[in-house]
Amino acid sequence: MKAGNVAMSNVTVRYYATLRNCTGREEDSLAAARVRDVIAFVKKHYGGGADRILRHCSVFVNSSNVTFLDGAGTRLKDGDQVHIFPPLGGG
Amino acid sequence: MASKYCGYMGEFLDVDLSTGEIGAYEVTDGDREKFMGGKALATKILLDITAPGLDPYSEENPLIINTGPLTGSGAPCTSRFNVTTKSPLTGGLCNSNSGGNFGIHLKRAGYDGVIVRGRASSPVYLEINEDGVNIRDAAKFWGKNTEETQEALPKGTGKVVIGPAGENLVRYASLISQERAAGRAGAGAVMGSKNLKAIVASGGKKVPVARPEEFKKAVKGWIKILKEHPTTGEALPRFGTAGFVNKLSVGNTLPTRNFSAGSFEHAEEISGEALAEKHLEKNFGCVSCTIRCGRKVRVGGKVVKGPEFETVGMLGSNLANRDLGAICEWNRILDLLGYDTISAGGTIGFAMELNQRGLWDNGLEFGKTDGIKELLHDIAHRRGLGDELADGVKRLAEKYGGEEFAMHVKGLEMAAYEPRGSVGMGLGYAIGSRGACHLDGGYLVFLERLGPLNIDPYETSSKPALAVMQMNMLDAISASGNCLFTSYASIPAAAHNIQPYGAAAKMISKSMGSLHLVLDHMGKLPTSVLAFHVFSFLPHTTVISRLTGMNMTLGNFIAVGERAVNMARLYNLREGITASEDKLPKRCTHELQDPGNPRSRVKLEKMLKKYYRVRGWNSKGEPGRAKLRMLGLEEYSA
Repeated sequence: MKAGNVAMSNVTVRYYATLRNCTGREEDSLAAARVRDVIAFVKKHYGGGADRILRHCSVFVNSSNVTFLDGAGTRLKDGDQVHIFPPLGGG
Repeated sequence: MASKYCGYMGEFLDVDLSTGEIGAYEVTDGDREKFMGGKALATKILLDITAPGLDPYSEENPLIINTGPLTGSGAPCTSRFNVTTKSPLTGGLCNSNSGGNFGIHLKRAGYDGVIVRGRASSPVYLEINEDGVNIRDAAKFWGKNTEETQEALPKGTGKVVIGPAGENLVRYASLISQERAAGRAGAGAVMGSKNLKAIVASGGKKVPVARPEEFKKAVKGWIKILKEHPTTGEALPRFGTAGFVNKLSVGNTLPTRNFSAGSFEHAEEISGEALAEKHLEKNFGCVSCTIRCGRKVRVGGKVVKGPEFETVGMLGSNLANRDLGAICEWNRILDLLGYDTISAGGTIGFAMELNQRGLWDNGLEFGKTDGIKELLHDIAHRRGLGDELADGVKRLAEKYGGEEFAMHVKGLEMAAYEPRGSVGMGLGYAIGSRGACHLDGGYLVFLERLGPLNIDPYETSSKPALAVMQMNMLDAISASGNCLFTSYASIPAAAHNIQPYGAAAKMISKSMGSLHLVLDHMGKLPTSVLAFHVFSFLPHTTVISRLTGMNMTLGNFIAVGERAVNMARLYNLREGITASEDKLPKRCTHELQDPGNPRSRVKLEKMLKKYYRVRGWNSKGEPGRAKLRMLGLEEYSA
């Protein structure tokens, strides 16, 4: 499957902290080409509550923060895990 | 000596347990202006009143417990008190900070702090109230755990106590107040060496306020900031500090199997989410706290304090332990016995690796939880294997080898961040005055891995200057008597509205990586260039000014923190802890965490050189004359 010219990949998206409270589940599997497709999926499936939290979330593809890749445009490949973390505190 | 400044009670006790003499130590208003209180002031006192080279367990090594002006003032998150002494674990400075109820009650009794010198001939406790101080017999408390002791001491008092670990000189024994710990670097053992089981304080005095109405208004504004901030208003109250586990594991920064890896395959099972779902009864806070990061969990049918992130990391992933119930139980045991959960996990993890490599046949294995509970008791009572573990990683490495994977700095076991996934944190471990402490070295992991907008965790150029900035700020907050967690709200809530996966975040992140071009030179500027307040960034300065009547501008506040760092350095240098000890185990500097990522090690040398330069220290890491003069510390110039 392709979105535009970019091939779709089978990936897993994992939710944490308050986002998990909102989705009611730990993870979903989906086909996505880029990180922005995953974000769109979460917004669509979990509505306004998720949308509000997502604005503040860090996103990792496997172990890399997408801030240091291509942000929402980061390309995904089969088997990638996309982790979405709301703000945290601790220490 | 009374103070012209409000916020202080104006009296600092000086007690000698050897002679029974009870006197007063003179703290001048000049000292208060320069050092404010807490760690900064106590380090100055320690330097002033001790001779070099003392045995930490000698009668001459004082135990200094003090507060800051904010302690007990009614400002948010101000139950803090600080413990300072020479560390039996590192031989250098021990500063440890805690919540609980002791600090507030000490001020209600009319005192800002207490110095305890000497050694009692038999177990005693100190009773401090408005009428003075009594040295009481504590024979019947000796051997009791920290909860039994607190329950047996007079009701309605603020208490700080040691458990069996302090009595038996476990080198990383802590002080406990309610269920909070001044945990790191072994102040509990120093207290035990003095035969001092507890201090209780009580009274009805109020902290004087210079400008009450303006103070009240500023406090109200500060509480609003903390409550509305995504970190202090939502994340910490809901998930506590253990919320970090999953994110750090995903980002290869969760210590696993004695820091041999940064990701734990069972992280989810020991995460803040799992704690909230399976064990949490409710959250709690210290007196005056609006954040309420504490967790209450059920252990053995009783609702007790749950583990903090550091404890979960060090007793969980670092031991390859996936049993969160066991972590809750061990955390409870360590609090009752009175010793540091971080050093305990670090030491047991090191012993496990020594065993795995055939260097020490001790029966301890990663992932094996059988027998650990009993071992924790044996450490506190120095029985069998526990006796050796009670001395910490450094001394085990001296005996059994494995220095390259002995995860300590200056003798203090590393906190729960794998520095190869957060190299600024690695720098912080190397330069921390008490050793590999996450809070002492600027806590850069928050900027690298955990905050809303991150700086490249492997980049080295900006980290020295950021460490300087953060260390100065955190030490100033600590000196004020305020909880360091309030600093989370210094990252404007608005920053959380910038999508971390958007283009703006990337640009900001890059810019933050270039901040050093400015920050590298900040230390050369006089404090007068920051002669203002920025309430939304650091409400502390406004609140302290209105409380005390001092002119605590941003510049003066940061200078307090900078003095604290420099005085700590001067103390350690005097005790023979030089730049050669600003190092990390070879595992961090020479072994790649990820063989496929050439950046996954800590390039320490490069960062250290720059750190000294930004600090205004010479190449040997010694504070230079010009810097000390600038800070008004010329009398400490070599």
